Amino acid sequence: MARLTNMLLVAAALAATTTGCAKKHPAELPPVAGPAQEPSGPSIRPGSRADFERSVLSNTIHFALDKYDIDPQSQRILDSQVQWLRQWPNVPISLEGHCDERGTREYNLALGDRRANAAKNYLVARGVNPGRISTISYGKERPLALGSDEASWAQNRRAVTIVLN
Amino acid sequence: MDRAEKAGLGIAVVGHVLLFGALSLGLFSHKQPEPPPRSIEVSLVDKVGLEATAPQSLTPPAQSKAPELGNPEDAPAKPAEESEPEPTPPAPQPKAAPPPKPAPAPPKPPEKPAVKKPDAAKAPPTREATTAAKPTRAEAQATGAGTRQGKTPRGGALGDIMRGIGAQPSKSTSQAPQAATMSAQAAMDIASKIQQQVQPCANQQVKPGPGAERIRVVIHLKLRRDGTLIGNPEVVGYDGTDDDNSRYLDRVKDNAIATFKHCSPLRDLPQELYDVPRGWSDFKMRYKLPG
Amino acid sequence: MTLFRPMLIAALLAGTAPLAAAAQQAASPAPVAPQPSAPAPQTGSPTPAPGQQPPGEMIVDVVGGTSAPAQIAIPPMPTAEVQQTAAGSTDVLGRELALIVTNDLKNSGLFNPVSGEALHNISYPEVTSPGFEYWAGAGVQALVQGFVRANGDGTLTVGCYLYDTYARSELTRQGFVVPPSDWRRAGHKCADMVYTRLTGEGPYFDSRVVYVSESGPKGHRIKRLAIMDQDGANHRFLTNGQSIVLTPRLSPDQRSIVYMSYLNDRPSIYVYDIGTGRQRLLVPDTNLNFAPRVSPDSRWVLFSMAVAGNTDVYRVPLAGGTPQRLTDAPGIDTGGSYSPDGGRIVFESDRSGSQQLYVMNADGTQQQRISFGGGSYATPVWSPRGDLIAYTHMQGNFRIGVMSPVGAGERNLTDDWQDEGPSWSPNGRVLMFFRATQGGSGVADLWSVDLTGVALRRIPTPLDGSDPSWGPLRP
Repeated sequence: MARLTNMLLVAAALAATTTGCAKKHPAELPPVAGPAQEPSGPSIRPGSRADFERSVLSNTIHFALDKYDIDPQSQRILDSQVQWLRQWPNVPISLEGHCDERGTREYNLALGDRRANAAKNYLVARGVNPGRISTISYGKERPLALGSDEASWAQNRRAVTIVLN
Repeated sequence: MDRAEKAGLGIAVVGHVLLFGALSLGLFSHKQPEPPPRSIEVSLVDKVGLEATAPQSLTPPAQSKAPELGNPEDAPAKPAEESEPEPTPPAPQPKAAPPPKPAPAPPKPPEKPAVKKPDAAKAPPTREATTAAKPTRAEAQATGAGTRQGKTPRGGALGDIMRGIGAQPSKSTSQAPQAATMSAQAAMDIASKIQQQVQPCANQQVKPGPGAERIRVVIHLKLRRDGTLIGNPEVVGYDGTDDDNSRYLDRVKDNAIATFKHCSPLRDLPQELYDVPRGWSDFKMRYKLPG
Repeated sequence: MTLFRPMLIAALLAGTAPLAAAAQQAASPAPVAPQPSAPAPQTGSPTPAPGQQPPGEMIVDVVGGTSAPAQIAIPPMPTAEVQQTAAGSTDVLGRELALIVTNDLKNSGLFNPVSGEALHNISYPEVTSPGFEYWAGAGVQALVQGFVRANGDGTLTVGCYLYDTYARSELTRQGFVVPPSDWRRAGHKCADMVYTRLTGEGPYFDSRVVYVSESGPKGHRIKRLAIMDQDGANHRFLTNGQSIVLTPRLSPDQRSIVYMSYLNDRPSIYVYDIGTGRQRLLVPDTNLNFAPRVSPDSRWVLFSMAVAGNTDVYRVPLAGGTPQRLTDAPGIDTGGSYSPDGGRIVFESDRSGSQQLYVMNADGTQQQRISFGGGSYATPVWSPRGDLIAYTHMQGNFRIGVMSPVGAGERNLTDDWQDEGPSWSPNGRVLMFFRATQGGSGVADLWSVDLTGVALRRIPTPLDGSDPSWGPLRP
């Protein structure tokens, strides 16, 4: 009688364990582990253009009328770009130079080139590899602000850093 | 001396004194009012002498036909007498000149010789103008005849009679009195009349381009008595062209000719000043655009 | 001396004569005394003192004229026999040809063609026996008549006659034999014949213009290369707008168009072959190169290249080759244009601190500044007849201006917010440029103006436009 009781106990124990090991589909899945900041949506790939643009102060610096000097505000912006560029040394970038509409077409192509090169030189002086930097001038062909007033023109006199990937 | 004599002497002395005083004061004399100084009319013309004295017979007066052909060697004294009754001074002396043609002067238009004469006489008058010297009798004699040789005609002591007479016989049929020549003032008046008549046509001429207004064109015009043009006006000169406007020269020439042709014929011009020297039978027009 | 006094007085009168004469322009004339002008004869004829009549001759001085456009009549061109051609029927062509001549002359600003009911049809025989009385009576001095004939071989013959109705004479005539595809050129040649005879200027109506056709929003313009006759006809797009194209220029031999394109994100100069429709890269350099212009002998292309932020003027054979640098100032040197004899180049540079105009020899030597007025100067172009340089003058507004090649006599021809990029007609008399309007909906269009400032007008194009370049007279 004791052996039957033992067998019953063992069987009950086995049944309990097996039922405990059986795959039980829980009512709801625990959440998938992901980036802690993003509540939802696609992920930003590190080293991408989007990554660059959210990491730096701005991808755009501005210039005074007919000038291509890097003013202090622009320096701060470019410094923040240098930070990111050091982190991603193999990512190529393009520097676009732009002008406002209050200049003649050919001169503005040259002036946009000057602005792009001024930004490039600043970055290179701070250790960015010039081989990864290309420049292009759009003159006055691609304005950002469309008005014909000082505020619009100030916005259009710019150099934009574009990550190429 | 008695009293009566003294009184008489005294009266006589007083009377003499009074008379002397009166005379010296001029009370008895009739004062002739001094004639006011004559104001002399000064006309500021540089050739004052020419018109007043020797009229320039550029259109030689009509040859007055001698009743008979004379020997050119005849003494000039005879022709002098014959010439007196002639109405036109100074009458040409056919005998002193080579024998005139028996036929009447060919009916050439009187301005024909005048056409040549202005060209020849142009230079000497200009020289006279610039020197502004009072012409001497010799000069007047030379130019008045249209020749400059001043060839002393036969006649010796009566050489003065030949003043104003050419060595060649005049073929002119001009009946205009030689004294009715065109003075400077009359020429200006006629020029003004002509200019007024052509001005409307000048105003219509179109300026071809910038700088064309610096060009001036001279055209030569010949008219009939009725004011119509003879032939086409001829461009005889121009000035004011440069590298920037020379392309417009032909057009300014066109404008000058059109100015005259479109306002042709001219009207109401005095007939007696038609074929005199400087007459409107033959003249020049200088045209330019405004600006 | 009293003898000189009349000359002094008359000289003072002469000074006022032009003013008095100007007051008479085109107005009913008031009787005035002869208007003498200070004489400076060059032909040897004697000069009497003003106001004086010289001995032996009378001189009449006349000053008169108008700058108003000349009246002219261009009736439809009849045809002896209506025939069908590849270009259309000859009677329709005759009407169209008269309109081509009418528009060319009218748009030059120097002529006022009769239109409407006064312009009646003429018969074929009347072409060579014009109704002088009718037109002279209407105050129209210039009359253009012509005819159209279809030749047996498919070509067309267009006869063109110019008459002076006041003088009752024919001034000139020309005939043109054209293939049907070029029938409009006969009209332009006829207009050129009339224009040159009545103005003394060179011809320019039989020519074409290349430009950039624009459409789309201001922030992202679609720009396409286009070519058309100078009157807007025969318009053709040459590129499809996928890449930005800028500053096209026709070569003087009319075989190529040089222009700048952003094809492959690499802004460079290309040569478009009009015959084959193919294009090739001119300068195989990765540096930005732009602002091309072809030399008068069609052998060289002047252009600008930006190297490390510094832009200079270079030249390279049109057939391709090694660029040769002509300027090396630290500033921006760009916008080169040859003199008509190819011996000199005018360009713009900001080496002095602002954009100014400079002239140098074609080999780059002897660079001298020629602009010294207020404001700055750009986009210089040398006139085909060599007497003037046109440019964009920036002083507040952007205006089209001209000055002599040594910088004298500068004057502005337009006055708007932004007029830019002038280009000369083949006869050096008319300038085409582009005018932009302000604001977010601003657009650019082609305009033209005569050297005297008259005839400012917009050039009709299918879309908007910029960067016009006027080609040479077609032979």
